[in-house]
Amino acid sequence: MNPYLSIVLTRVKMLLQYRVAALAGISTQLFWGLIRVMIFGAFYEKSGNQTLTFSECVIYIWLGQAIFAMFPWYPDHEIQAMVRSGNIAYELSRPIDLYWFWFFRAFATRAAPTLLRSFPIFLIAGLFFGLKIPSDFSHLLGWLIATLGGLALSASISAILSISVLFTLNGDGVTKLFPAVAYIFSGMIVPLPLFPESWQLFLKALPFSAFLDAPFKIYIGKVSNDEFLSILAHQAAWVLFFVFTGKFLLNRAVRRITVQGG
Amino acid sequence: MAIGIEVDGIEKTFFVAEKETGVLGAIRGLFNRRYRRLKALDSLSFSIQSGEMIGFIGPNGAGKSTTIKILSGILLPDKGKCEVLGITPWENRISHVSRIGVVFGQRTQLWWDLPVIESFELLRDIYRVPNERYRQNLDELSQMLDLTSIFNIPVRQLSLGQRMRCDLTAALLHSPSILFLDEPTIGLDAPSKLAVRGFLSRLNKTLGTTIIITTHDLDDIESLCKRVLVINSGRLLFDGCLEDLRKSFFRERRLKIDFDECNSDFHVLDLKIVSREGNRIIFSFDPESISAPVLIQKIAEKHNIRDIFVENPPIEEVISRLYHDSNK
Repeated sequence: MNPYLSIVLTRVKMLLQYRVAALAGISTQLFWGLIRVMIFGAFYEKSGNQTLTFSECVIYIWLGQAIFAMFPWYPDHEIQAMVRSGNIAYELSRPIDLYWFWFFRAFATRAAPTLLRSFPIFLIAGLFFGLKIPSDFSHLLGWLIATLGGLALSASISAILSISVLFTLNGDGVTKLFPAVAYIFSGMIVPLPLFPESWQLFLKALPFSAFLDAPFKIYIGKVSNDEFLSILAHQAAWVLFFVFTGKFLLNRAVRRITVQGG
Repeated sequence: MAIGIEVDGIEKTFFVAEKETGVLGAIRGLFNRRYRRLKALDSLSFSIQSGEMIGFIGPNGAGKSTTIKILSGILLPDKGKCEVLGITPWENRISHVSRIGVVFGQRTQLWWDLPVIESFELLRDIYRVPNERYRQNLDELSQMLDLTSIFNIPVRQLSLGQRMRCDLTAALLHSPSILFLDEPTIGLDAPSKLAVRGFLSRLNKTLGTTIIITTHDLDDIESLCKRVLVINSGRLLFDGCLEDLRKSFFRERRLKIDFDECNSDFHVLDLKIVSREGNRIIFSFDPESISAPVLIQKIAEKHNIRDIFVENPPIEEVISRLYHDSNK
């Protein structure tokens, strides 16, 4: 088997063991989703219609909850632990490219829990809480493709967060700062279409719109074929940017590495 | 025999941040951090033939692990040349590491939460080992190390001895021509140590794998390695066989005698008494100046002897004297 595919599968196998974590994740996400649907319900009642209709907003919220686990929140815990303990030595003694090794590891780390959690959330929110499934199958497929693109972007950012641990030895600083930024600018708190008109271009250009906002627009069918391609191009451009930056940083880090603890 | 490893004048310096104690010191450290240069390796040179089994010893912090990490392509030296099987490790890391195996005794390369066999299969894919050879290697290794019964146990539930045997297997699945072992017997109980040693010497004999071991357990070295390299403070102190090491640094022998009666005043030829315990007295003597039979005869003339042992001083003492002398 291809080594990178094998890394992804092994990691998925490992993460699928954590059933209780998945169950806890699902109930948390359902709970927050419900609260946010109610909060936005109250807003919409007072302020009337927005650029986003209320039922679209509900879809936005549920899609966000479904893919919550794919956000690049943390550096890889295992890599963090390896750097602290010095087990990183083993990682460097493998005959594969260390960057892609970590990239695919991160990919699996994001993909496995997302897979595990999104189906039940789709099912429950779809049946009871107003998550409409698109009537046009191509919209669903388009959303799926763009979400995969978001996953790749997520992995490339995770990889950089993990690499940053090689410089700081700890990684907690980035870990605390990064999610706050990603959370706001991805639309997880307030859907991006509800931000002021003058912000829209800026928000769209940032990498964070690629996780939830852009795929959402495909999901509700607001996107032409050309726009669909430009969404993928936007994702690809950011993925390339993060991959190159990550590779560059990792190369520098490896040259000055010292292995802790003898 | 072909040259396996050639090391020529490698140097490596680490920078260690020095922190002052106390709150004030910590605050001062925010603005002005001082670094101390720590020379881990100081123009170290040696060469190793393919198929050798080398013991690499030295006190803590001598630079053993650093050397192993440079040889296995993990660290870059500041200076010097190094070739392993004709490749400079850090210049061509990927093709280099596919031909070597490493085991760091204090760490594991297995995936903590997964059954052992999953880690093996992942390593098979990472090293691109053809399936047939993988099966064959795994069969052989698991037989030699008695692993079959633990294949499906998650790594976190293995005992240290089981884990070490799995780590050895993991390092050998891709049939490396050189195996680096950094303290492979650390923390193991006696039977596990024996199993690991027996396995290593068989591996070296049957497959001709070059094995380089760092250890503090000198029994490992005595039972496995014909040749030892001793380093301290990043410099090579000794390169040769264990017997020569003993001869050149610690010539004395030990004579252990059980007497019939307890002698409080005991004087023969001004022998040095190393220890005495009831009726048993241990002397040390230099075999170059007096031979053991002559010595024993002289003692027997004056005293009643129940039992006699002549032995070499334990290798631990030889080594610690060597470390001690080199620190002067």
